Amino acid sequence: MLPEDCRAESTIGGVVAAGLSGWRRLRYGPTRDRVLEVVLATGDGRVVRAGGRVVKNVTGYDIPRLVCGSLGALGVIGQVALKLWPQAGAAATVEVDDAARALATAVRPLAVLDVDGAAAVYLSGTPAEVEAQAAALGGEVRDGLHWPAPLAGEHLLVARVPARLTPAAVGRVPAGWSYQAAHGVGEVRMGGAAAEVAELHDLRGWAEAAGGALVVAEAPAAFREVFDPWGAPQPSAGLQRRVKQAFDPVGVCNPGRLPGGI
Amino acid sequence: MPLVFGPVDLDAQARLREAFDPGGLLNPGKVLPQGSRCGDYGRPVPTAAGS
Repeated sequence: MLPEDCRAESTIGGVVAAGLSGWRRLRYGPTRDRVLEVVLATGDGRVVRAGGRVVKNVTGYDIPRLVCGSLGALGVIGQVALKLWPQAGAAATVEVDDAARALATAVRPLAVLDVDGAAAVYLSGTPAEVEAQAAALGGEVRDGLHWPAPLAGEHLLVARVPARLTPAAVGRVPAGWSYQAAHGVGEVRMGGAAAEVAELHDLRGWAEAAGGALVVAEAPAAFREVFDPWGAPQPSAGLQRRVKQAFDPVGVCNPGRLPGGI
Repeated sequence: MPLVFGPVDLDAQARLREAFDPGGLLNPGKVLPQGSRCGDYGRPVPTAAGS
């Protein structure tokens, strides 16, 4: 079992290059922690193997980790070695009233999500574990994992903040917008039809001041002209450019795809 | 290191290291053996198209 969220048209390389980590990030961590080895075709035609097939591998610089989330800008991912987990025996979705309290009570949940005010804890493990946890949490229990449907809306933005600020971020979602918040992770996806740019700038300012970001996932081109998709330039932009140069000196791999137009 | 990685792989690691340490000031010779870079073999490094 690979704890990523994929659609029918997803590819392994795409999942790694996007590095979005999926709904189960609270329990299984980010994508970059489970890519052990990568074979990369660089922009200037070198085939580079980095990392190692086993989990206990520390040779060389952590290029596999670099490739996760690189959005194809460092090269084409030809092959990966991924760390997998065993399938669980049982799974359940438990509706709760208070996401923050559930996060403190539940033991290693897959996720604690708040979707437009409805909070739910996602559990998996042995049947006995799941039953005991569901009972301890109280609330309505549904068998299996009922993940939220993808957000609809012309504008889709994702806020990333330190995990403890997730409730605060939820409070700042623009009025009338739908949201999906992952407690314990610090990610709030939000979607809506009408975008009030000033309000979104405020939200971005708050998120960035906290050390996070507000990023545009999808929006009409006109919106992206008045609201930068990525936000404030990162201090490490110079270093990032040099890293990009090290892998793609001729600039053919998704040029301009990364923040800062790298 | 040359026992684990081939010359192309070592060169990629050397280039990444150079991105962090262009001047070669930080612990030169550590982790990567001398002679990993393309330049050490006398091979040309491709530059951006048009330059």
